[in-house]
Amino acid sequence: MLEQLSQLWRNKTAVLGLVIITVFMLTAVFAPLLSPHDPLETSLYDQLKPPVWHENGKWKNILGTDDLGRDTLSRIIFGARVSLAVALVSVGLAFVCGTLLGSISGYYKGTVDSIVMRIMDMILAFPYLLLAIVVVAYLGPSLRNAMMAIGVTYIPRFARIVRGSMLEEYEKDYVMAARSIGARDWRIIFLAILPNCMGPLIVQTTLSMASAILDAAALSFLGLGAQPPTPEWGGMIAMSRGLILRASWVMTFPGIAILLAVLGFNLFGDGLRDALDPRLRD
Amino acid sequence: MPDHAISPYLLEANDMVKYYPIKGGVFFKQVAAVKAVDGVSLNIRRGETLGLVGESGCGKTTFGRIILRLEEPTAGEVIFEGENIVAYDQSQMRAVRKKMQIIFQDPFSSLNPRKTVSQIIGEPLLIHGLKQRRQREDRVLELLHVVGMRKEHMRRYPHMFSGGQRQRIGVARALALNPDLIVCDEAVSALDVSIQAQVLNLLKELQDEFGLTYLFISHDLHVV
Repeated sequence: MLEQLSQLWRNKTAVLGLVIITVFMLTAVFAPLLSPHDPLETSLYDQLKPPVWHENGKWKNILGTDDLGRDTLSRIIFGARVSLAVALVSVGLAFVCGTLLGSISGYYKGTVDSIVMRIMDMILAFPYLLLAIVVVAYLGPSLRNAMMAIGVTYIPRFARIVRGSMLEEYEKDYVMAARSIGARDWRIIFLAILPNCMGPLIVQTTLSMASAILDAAALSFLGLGAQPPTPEWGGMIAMSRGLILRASWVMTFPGIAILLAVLGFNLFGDGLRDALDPRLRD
Repeated sequence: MPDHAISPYLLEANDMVKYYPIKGGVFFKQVAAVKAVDGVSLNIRRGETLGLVGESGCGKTTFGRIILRLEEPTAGEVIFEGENIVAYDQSQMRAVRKKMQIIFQDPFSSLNPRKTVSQIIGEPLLIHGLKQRRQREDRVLELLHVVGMRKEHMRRYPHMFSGGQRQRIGVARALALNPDLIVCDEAVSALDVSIQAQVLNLLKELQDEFGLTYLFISHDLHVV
């Protein structure tokens, strides 16, 4: 484990990813302290103010304001909360359900395995954004439902990874040793085998967080996720779509925020994969 | 127990059969079977060592696993202390598992790489009701001592040990519940000759000390 951590530390892009993730998380946690304005406060006199380095920019609104005079920087900072919540809740849901289904599938094999994996195949057969839209359309548009929808569509990737590792680990003697000392199935699955499947699972979790943030932004952009006036990056871009020629900064900055958050998780996830996969190590 | 009066044997296996089906065709019907074990019988008295020798791939390992019901036999019965354990359900089987243990061939895969030595040896104790950590660790320490390992080994992980040491850990785990019968499934085949002798001597000493019964499975006649 220590060796893998040092491996990760030597990987500069992974460290960069980790830095971005840390900044992102701190921003989300301390949003009320960091943001200069209330993200929901409108101001008739400050509509569409440009960012500070622009000739008409003022320090009052560092990244400018939107068409209702709301401070962009504050909205981005509070948007980090929403994105973090989406990443944690939807990936958490997918992680728990996927791990559970995958372990049962890989451990018991046979009919159970066939049924579970065919259901997973069905979920995978849909383009996942489309599936998320269907789920949201059925449950009604809200941030909570968007998180659920993203979580559900991510279940198969976790289930498959866990099942694969489970099948591989099942063949090892320590599993049989656990049975010979009279361990119950749940003990063998969760306490003996699952800890040995964690490597690929952790990598998948980080990478999924990146795509969950992106998907949540996409759903909000389509009006199916966070509802106005909630400050959400995808929603901010959607609101300012009509202003792209007049005040391009209004949609540029939330776009950059999405880019950075996704990039951070992806870089870190790739670094983790390199560090945890012994086959890629030199 | 009255059963001992009826049967002089600790373990009897009668007409053991294990077929692995080969499925094929459109409807996954069974088209053939691999006969791994076909009509094997043996008896072992308490305190005895019985050697089971055969060439590679002849079903010795499968046989050993059926004895412990780690694999289900296709037919035949395993009579342990006068009771046919093939007919036992899960919870009855758990009780019997205290009395019969196995030492595996490959000491590298038989120990869970994510657990410390103390957890590995303590797990059977935990499962069979020794919930208190302190007591468990005392017993683990005792077992480590029995197999010739030291206290400071307790907190280490299996990958920090050599093959011989790992096999000792495997032996300690098998001994944890004071079993009557230990199936040694090629227990020394993966070790080099000098270490083999060490482990064999250890097994011999333990038999004298605890009155163990061994079913010794090997492809190497010298070892037996």
